[in-house]
Amino acid sequence: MSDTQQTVFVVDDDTAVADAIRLLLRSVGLGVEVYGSANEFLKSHSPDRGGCLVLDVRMPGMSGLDLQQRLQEIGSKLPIIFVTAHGDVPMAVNAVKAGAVDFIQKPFRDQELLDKIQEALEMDERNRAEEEELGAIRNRIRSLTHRETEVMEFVVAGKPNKNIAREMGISQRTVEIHRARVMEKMEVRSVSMLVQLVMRARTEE
Amino acid sequence: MASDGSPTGRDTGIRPPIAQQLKERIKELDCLFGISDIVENAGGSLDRILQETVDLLPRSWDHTEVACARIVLGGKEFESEGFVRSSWTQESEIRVHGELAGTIEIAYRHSRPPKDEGPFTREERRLLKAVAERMGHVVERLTADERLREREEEFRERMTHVTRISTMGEMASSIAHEVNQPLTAVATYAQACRRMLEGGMVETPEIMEVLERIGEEALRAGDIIHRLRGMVRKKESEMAQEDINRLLEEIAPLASVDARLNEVELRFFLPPGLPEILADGVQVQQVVLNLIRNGIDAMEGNTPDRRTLDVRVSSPDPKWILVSVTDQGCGLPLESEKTLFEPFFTTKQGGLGLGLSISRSIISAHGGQLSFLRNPQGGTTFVFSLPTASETEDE
Repeated sequence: MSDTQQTVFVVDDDTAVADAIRLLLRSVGLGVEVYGSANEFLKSHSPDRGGCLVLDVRMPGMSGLDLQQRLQEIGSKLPIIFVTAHGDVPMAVNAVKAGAVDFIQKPFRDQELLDKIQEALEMDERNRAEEEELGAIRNRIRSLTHRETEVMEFVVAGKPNKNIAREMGISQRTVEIHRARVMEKMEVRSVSMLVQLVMRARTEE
Repeated sequence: MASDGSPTGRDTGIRPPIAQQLKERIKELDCLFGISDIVENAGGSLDRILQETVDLLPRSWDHTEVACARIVLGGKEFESEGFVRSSWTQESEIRVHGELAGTIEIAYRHSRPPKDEGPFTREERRLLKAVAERMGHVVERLTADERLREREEEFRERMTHVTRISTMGEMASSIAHEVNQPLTAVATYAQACRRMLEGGMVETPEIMEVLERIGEEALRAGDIIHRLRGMVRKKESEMAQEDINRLLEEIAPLASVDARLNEVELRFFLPPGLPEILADGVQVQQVVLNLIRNGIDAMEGNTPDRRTLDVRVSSPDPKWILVSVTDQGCGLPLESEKTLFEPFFTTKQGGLGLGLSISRSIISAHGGQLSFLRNPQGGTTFVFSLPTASETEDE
């Protein structure tokens, strides 16, 4: 169950810069939380909190890039915007390739940062919505019985009922019953819809 | 026969007996060797040489008990005990680089029997002339030495300045970064403030606080620039009583940015209550920055768990301050030990290789020593000593 409110998490060891960003975001009505180090952020962060991350590339101890890697390891999809100093462009490009949403150079125009944050927050919302849907689909799959699952596999593979019956060693009538139950539990009305859902659930794993 | 028993008959052509001649030669030699000793042991002090020479001279003249000597040189007068001007004098000119610079004279306080020139002999005049020439040479050499020392000092100052600039150049990205931080804060605060006012959602006290922070950050940037200009400006060596901790605290922000940019953790261990040193603060800071730079470079290829650089200050003895910079790098190869401090030795591409050589020169000029140790746990520690202010006072 995700937190519907979105928070911008700011991680920067320079207190003045972090504070200034905090005020800027507050002035446009965004929720903000400031952390002085990557460790601090990791300790108090839970993956069900939505929003995005504004992160300084270079910090003592765990760097911004290290944090990005750590978050990926624990499966967090929180969008990251890297804040870089002049001359960090190659590093920033790598960061984006590694999955960061964007980067911005200091000193920056407020509108630019706000636009990027907006984009990141929208992306996070879409991600979470997607996650929820997938979760629901997986739940439905899990609710199938062992037999129903078997039948579903055959149906998705495109086998006609007659063949399914023969392979499973049950009557065609029984196959039809199982199939109907599958369509009901999966909340679909056509086989093509069923195939789509199953493919989605499977590729994301 | 003369009243003192010595044979007379010093008309031209008649030479005094052999024994007499030998005595005179010995006196002359004694005099000249004596002067050599004086010059050697005077430690470069012209005044001392001149005074000791006039004190020595009377011994080498026939009538020692009534002889006295005087040198006039460089506007100063040096006299042996009880000198009086009299009508019985021998005088010789002192010339420096061919120019008349002064005079040297021997006088007899009381009348004495006549010889070649009044009461003096030809040999004595010759000796006086030789001594005068010697004094001229001494003056020439001392001024040449001093000029050489001045040129050396000038050269060292220029090289120190060059390496300081070069170090600054190496730290250019850190410097730009350090200034950029407060600038970013100022820009962001100001923009935030504008929006807050646009949105009409703020009270005056809050705006006031933001404006105050803007001012502070701008001053912070100015302070960094100011400190940098201090480091880069070429100036004469300014020796003053300094607190080593304060000097290190001044450069800590700059060094920390450099460390941060290279993902190195920089730690300072500055115990309170240390004795002060007599030093040129900027030069000492330059040495420390150089060692920190080297330490950062030494750990370039290290894993994140071995990227700590420690700066420690201690005073194991009230006469000395020790400053050490310890890295966790791969250490120094044995072959480089001999050439480490030589000018132009560098393992860095594009490096000038002057840092350690100048650093050592600076520390030596302060009366201390710069050397290094290998750490048992890997890496190198560079350490230098500086005499404390009270120690230098005693000198």
